Parts: sequence; C-alpha cells; structure tokens
Amino acid sequence: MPWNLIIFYGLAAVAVLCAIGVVASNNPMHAAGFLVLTFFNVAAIFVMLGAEFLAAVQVIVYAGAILVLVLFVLMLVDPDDLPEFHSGRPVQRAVGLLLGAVLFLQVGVAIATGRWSGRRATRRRRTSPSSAATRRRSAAGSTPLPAPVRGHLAGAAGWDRRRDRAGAAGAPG
Amino acid sequence: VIPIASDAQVSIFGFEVNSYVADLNVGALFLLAFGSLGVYGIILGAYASANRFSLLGGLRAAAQVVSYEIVLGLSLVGIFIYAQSLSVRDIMLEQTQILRIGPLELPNWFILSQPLAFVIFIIAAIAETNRAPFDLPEAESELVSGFHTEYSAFRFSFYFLGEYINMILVSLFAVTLFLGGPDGPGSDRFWGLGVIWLVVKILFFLFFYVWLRATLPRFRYDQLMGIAWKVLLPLVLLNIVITAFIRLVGNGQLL
Repeated sequence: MPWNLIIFYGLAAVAVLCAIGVVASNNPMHAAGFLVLTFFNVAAIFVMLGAEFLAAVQVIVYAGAILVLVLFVLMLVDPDDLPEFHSGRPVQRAVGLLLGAVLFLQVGVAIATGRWSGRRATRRRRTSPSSAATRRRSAAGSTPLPAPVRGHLAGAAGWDRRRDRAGAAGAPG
Repeated sequence: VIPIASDAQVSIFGFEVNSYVADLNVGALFLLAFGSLGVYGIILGAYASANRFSLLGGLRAAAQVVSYEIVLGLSLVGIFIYAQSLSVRDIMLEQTQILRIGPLELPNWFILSQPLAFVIFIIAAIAETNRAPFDLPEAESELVSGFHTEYSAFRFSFYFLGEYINMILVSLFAVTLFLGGPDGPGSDRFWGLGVIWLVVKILFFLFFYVWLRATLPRFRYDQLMGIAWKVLLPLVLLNIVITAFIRLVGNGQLL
C-alpha cells in the first residue's frame, strides 16, 4: 500500500466519522466542532489531489467565515430553547432516511459501475459519449495520486455518474 | 511559505538550503486561511467558560474577526494584481526590483505603489489580532476581561502566547508583502543581512503595536463595525478598481 493511499484513507475515515458526528451529536456546539474537522479533512484531500486553491478557499470561506457565523448565532441562542434534535418529527425522519438511502444507493452504483483508470478500467458497462469521461481522463492525467485513490475519490464524490444521470434527465448539473 | 532571505538558495556551512519550506502557488491565500482560524480559540474558550462576560467577549470576537477578515483579504488584491501571482516568493522577488521616479531610485516595495492598501491592511491586521484599540473582546472596562475572564495561570499564558505569536506572524506577513521582506541595503550580496533586515522590520511592527496600544483609546462597538463596513470596505474596493485601472492603462489594453 503506497503511503499516500494510507494517508488518504486516514483523512477519509476521519472526515466520514466527523460527518456522522455532526448529525449524531446532541449539542449543536459539538456539531459545529465536528463540521470544522470535516472541512479540514476535505481540504486536506483537496491538497492531496493538487487543488491547493480549492483547499485554501474551503478553509477561508467555510471554516473561517460560515462556521464562525454559525457559532455566533449558537452563542446568542439559549440551548434550552432549541427543539429536541433526535426525538419526534417521524415524517421528517422517514423522509431523511429515505433520501439518505437513495443517495447511498446512487454513490454505491457510481462506485460499482464507474469506469476508473486503473484496475477497474475493464469494467465498463455503459459507454456514454458525455464529457464526463474526458473530464475524468484529464483529471486523472494531472493528479499525483495512484489510480485507486483517484477512483475512490471520484466515487466518494459521486459526481461523474450523477452528472451523467442529471444530464440525461435534462436537469442542470 | 514565507522566504526569510532574498535569494532562493542560501548556503549554510557549504550546504545549499532553500530559504523557504514550501513555495505554494497560493501561499498568500494559505496564510489568510490559517490566520482566519485563530478566532476559534477565542469563541470556544469564551463559550466553554459559561460566563456572561466571556460569552459577550466571544460574540464580539466572532463579529469583529469576520468583518475585518474581508477587509484584510481584499486589501491584498491590489498586490496580487501588481505581482500577478499569489505565491509569497514571487511577490517578494517582485519587490527587489528598482522603481525609478525621475532621478529617484527606490526599491519597488508595495508600500510605495499601494499606500492605501498598506494602511488598511495594518488597521485590519490589528483588529484581526484583537489588539488595542480593537481589543473589544477583552475590554477590561466593560467585560471584566472578556473571553479570558475564567482563565488563569497556564491557560491564560497560552492565550497570550497565541496572541503574541499571532502578532509576530501578522507583522511578518505585512513586512513580506508591503516592505520587501528581507530586501534592504546589502541583502543581495549576503543573505544573512537580509535576515537581519527582516527581523528589524518585524521588530518595528511589534513596536508599532505597543505604541498604538498606549496611544489610542478603545473603540465603541458600533464605531468598530461602522469603520469596517462603511469606511474600510468601500476604500479597499476603490483601491482594487484604481489598481486594476492603472494596470490596464500600463499594459496598453485600455485607452
């Protein structure tokens, strides 16, 4: 296992765990803290992909400005006035679970059927003449990461397949 | 990210060493990004001490830093337009050239071509580091001492170590971007002299901080916000427009 793959898995694991923490924590202050960590790990992944500008802008805009505003509002609000986070509202919870399952399925399908450069390159099932393929190829040519990482990153973002589907449905990506 | 000597390579005991750790092509943005995270210490510390005064200090810090960060970032845009790069090293190398105004030969420091941006940057930097006259988060006369009321001994010392390190870092940033960094008489012949020039300039800025603190009274809170949004932000936008206009005229792309 190359070292940058190990680093990527570490960053990705922390990012996903912190994202779960944002949703699962009872205290909104803790949720904001988890969100900072998530943004940092995503910025680090951007740096690994050679997108330093995106990483810097992510840290400036999200971690530096938006989350500070979130904390600002949280400090103005009495925690006792906030509604319960994890009880009641069955309809909203059901809808949320359903949408989450759909998203999970989409990402899973994207990972399973995607045409990655590398060892999964032979598993092409659908040959679409869309620009996603060229985009991915150009991205693959310029990134300093090994092919599996690139594949997992694209899969984790889920952007290529969903872009395809959105384009087919006529919706703006 | 910030080079400490005017040459890219310096020789120490016969070894050729880079004068910087990494030359990021978005180095200036990188510094701004990490400078904007210092406020988390204040906000979380204020919130965690469960004290009304501390909480008010944290609120003030959040509002103040978010407001002045915009001004701080925008005041550098003029420099980026002149240097045509976000890399701190390129900006520094641009300033080692010579500016000729008639018979006068001056170093091409950006404080000469961007005086308005320099003044605004200094004001925003002082506000960003929560020093007087912008030390509303710890205003002793109103909030006891704001966000660090509940912290004593070692924790208090860490707050102040952080604040002073932040001051040194902001001074280094200002010196590198506006005052030519290690550029000075003789720095192109021997790199050690450049390091000395850099340290002297930083010490001047630190002196300036203490000087201001002893000279100016603290702002009122509405004055603080009014200066950031009604005075500094329009001025800094005007500076960007003027700089871009001069640049276009200079390139012959306009008029």
